[in-house]
Amino acid sequence: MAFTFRIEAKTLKLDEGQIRKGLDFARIGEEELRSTEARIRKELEKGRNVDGARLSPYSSSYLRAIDAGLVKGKSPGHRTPNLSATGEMLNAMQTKPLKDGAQIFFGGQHKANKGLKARRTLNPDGTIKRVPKKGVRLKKPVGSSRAVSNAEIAAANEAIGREFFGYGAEDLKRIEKRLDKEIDKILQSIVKTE
Amino acid sequence: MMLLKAPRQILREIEREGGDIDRIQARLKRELARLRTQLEKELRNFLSDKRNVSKGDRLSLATAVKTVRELDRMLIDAGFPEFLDSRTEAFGELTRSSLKYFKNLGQAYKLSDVSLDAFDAYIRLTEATLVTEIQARLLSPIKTALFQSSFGSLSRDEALSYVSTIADNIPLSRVEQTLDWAFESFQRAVTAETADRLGLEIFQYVGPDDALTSPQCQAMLSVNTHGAEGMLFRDEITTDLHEDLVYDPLINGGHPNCRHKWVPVSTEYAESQGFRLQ
Repeated sequence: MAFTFRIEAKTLKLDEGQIRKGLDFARIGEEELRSTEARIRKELEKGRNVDGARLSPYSSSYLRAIDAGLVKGKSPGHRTPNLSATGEMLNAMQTKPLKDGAQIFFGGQHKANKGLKARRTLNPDGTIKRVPKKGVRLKKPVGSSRAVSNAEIAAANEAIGREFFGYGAEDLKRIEKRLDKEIDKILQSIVKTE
Repeated sequence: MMLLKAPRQILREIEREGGDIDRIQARLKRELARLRTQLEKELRNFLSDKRNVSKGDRLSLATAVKTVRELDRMLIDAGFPEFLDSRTEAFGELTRSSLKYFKNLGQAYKLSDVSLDAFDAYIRLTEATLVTEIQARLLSPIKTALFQSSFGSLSRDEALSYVSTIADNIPLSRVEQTLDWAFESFQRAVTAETADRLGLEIFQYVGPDDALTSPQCQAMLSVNTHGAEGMLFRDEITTDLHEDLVYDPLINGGHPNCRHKWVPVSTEYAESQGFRLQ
């Protein structure tokens, strides 16, 4: 579960060598992915994704459990689907540099069977209740010591209609502005040196 | 008289038996210590030998860790937990050896999703923060469990079981709470490490604001010194932000089991949110 930030220097219609030399894609990418992380978190608190679309609501049984005070980290009456009960999954978002960009991903394992939410996603046969659509299939036999990663939990949420992990239009606008600024710097340095 | 002689003989026998047991135990200890030294030496040799990664093979740190874990189990089974403390201390060195190994070969500092930031965060966290905040008896097993879970294949349940076996006189709830805290802190420490590497100075506090949110987390979510809520320069993120803050908020959030996190952001993003640099 990760998405990446890559730039094709050719599309900038400038000398690729100069651009590549001057633009640190990995650094810019990581910085902007961290900013995107902050925006993802801020929007999630309103139950929305980065484009402002509402996330699929929690199921009625889960809402009943929240209202009954049975879900750790959820206050009764707080029904917004913010994907944050213990904060473990969202706090595990990390970034790393790539050769020509950067990647954001979910690090670490999720504590098994933590809270009502984790338990209720398991079927009696040991599979996850809802099978993600996009090739992500979670199988965790009940009682198994195999760890479920935070990435798997995030992927499962996405697959059931809570698509929260990605850029929004606002992020792309900000990144474009940032690149303009960085290219300006390079052009200025070329003018100065020439 | 004979009756008095018999118990003396028995006592001597018992004494002799006891002496034999002591000698056997001492020998077993020596053998285990030798085995441990030998294994660590072999591991280090393996880690530093370039031939071990020819044809694109990667060092399986998970395998190395698994081997060491087996040795840990053996030491516990043999009734010598005192060896474990000194042995697990070697993990810091093992981590550094691994980093050196990766660097020598020009390979990526990663195993799956593990990054150099994660290795650095592990070293900083275990050698500084955890040392001062976790009670001595739990420190070594928690360091080992954190390492094996983050860079090896130990599951969280196995980690809990491992730590509770060693710290058997400490209540399970206490062990679990401390272990969870170490894992949470680790993820935040990795983020802080990334911010350091990138030179990011502005952070935003993110997470839920509801009835369960603590006063210190609410204070950090709403702090508005520079024109944007919950955004501060790194130097400003200290325990001075609220009287109930005990630990470094950058690594620990507002408190143990905290749902929040300080996320580093770019200057462009900060300004777009109204943050004033001056």
